[in-house]
Amino acid sequence: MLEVKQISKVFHKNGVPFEALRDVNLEVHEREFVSIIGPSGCGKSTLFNIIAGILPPDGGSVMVQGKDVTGKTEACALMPQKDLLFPWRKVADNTILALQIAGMKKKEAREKVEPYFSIFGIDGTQELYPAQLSGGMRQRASLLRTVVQDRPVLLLDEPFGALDSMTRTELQDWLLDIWQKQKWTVILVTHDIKEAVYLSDRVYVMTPSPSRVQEVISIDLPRPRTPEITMTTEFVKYEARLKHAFGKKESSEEGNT
Amino acid sequence: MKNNKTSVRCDSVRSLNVSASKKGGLQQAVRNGAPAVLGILFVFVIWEVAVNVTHVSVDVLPSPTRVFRMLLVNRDKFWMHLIPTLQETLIGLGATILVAVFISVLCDFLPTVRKFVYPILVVSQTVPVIVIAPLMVIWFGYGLFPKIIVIVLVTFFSIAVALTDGFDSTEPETVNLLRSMGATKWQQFYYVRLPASLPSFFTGLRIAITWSVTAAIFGEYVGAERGLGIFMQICKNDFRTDLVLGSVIIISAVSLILFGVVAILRRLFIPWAAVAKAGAKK
Ligand SMILES: Nc1ncnc2c1ncn2[C@@H]1O[C@H](COP(=O)(O)OP(=O)(O)O)[C@@H](O)[C@H]1O
Ligand SMILES: [Mg+2]
Repeated sequence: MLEVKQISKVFHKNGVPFEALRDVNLEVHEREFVSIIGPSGCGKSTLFNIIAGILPPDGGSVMVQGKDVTGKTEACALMPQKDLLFPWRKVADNTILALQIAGMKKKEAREKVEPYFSIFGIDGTQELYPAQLSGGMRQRASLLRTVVQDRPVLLLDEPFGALDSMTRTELQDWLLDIWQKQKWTVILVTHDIKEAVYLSDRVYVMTPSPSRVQEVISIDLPRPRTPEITMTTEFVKYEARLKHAFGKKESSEEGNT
Repeated sequence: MKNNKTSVRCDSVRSLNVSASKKGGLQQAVRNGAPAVLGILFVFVIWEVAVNVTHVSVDVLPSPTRVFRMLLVNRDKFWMHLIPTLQETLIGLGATILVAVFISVLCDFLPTVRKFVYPILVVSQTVPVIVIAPLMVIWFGYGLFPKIIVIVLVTFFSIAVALTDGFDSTEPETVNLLRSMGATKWQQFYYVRLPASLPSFFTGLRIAITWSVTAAIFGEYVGAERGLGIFMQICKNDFRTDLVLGSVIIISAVSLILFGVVAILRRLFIPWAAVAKAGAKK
């Protein structure tokens, strides 16, 4: 469905070349939930920007549904780490931003997003300003803004990274639940190993820069999953395995965050 | 999903707090304003007492009661001179906003233009108005036009900088997000950079207001047919200190009223600013 082939990217910091990505390959199937974990600064957001078509790679290609979309923004919807909801737009108007950019009339767009508000558990917040929402609610609104774009692939860049751990757990349960109902095709960047195991069908582990795919681990836990699954031995085994894979480079990346 | 309900409830409580603090805003304005009013009254009282006790000549320092009496007696004259000053101030401000918006937007879209324009802007600020104003009279005479130019020159910088800063307050992540949605440069400007610049714009406007009144007065002072600036000069030459002080009071009042108008406009144009502030406090 989504194929990322041999992507490489070199940045120039004050004229000094910095190889961020080297021959990254990645594949995501229809309605699959894939996570990417890797040390901070290894180029995950860079990879996302390339997949989203807003950053040209120095080599390689991005294919979605058999179509070359390298450098094109039509295939993926991006959810950034910070919610980036605009303080001057009411929550509902924030969620329709992409629709308005695509040329849809405001009224029509509002009608289109309306039913999602109850699905996303934020019904009643439509006419509030983002500053009136809690961090967790803001992330829900931010995901809604991403989902309503109707793009084939959702790219979630550490969506829960800035939340406190209680809210994060709550939103992980919520995302699991809503994904199992809606079955979007998702790539999630995270540095939370438990989150990766809990939500994903497969997990890509990246190396420090120049970043490559170090390992791909299939999480063959049954679906639908519930929060209880985190207490099973299989789950803990997967966690340990990922921790091990992740630790391999973390020891070589000491203090580099 | 049972968690959602509680968080919705807690969020609606938040919004209640916000609307409560909005109402409190009016009360607070009164509470903040009261000391200012009392302070000014206090100054007037001291002034009155001092004049009565020392019997200082009316040419040097007339009592405030006399100043206000003369304001009333000469109200037609004051009114006649106030109108052109107001006109200059408002037209000058309007012209400044137009020019500043045009140039800032141009600089925002065309970085090369920015590189040329910015140094000129900075240099223009080093030229004192005192030098400019007489020149304007030499070049353009005693009419409205030279005053407008002085006002634009004085206030342009604060508004242009406020706008530029406002446009630039957009984070690179936001630009990435918009681009991923397929937004054109113009859409990025319209949906983000423009609304993001409003708070900063109003801050700049608030500064520009006081300066534009001062610049109008100064422009008149150097040469005009009518206006509070030239009126003050005539009164000064006649040793009518009471009328000079009356003009000062009118000018302050005008500045204050314009200040208030900007505050109201700010509320109208960016109702979300109060909400965002209340949210940030939590
Ligand atoms: N536009 C850029 N110019 C130069 N260097 C960049 C740029 N964007 C990212 N980098 C560098 O590339 C590396 C990877 O960044 P990023 O993709 O944000 O990492 P991650 O998301 O994995 O934390 C970092 O070292 C960062 O400093
Ligand atoms: Mg990142």
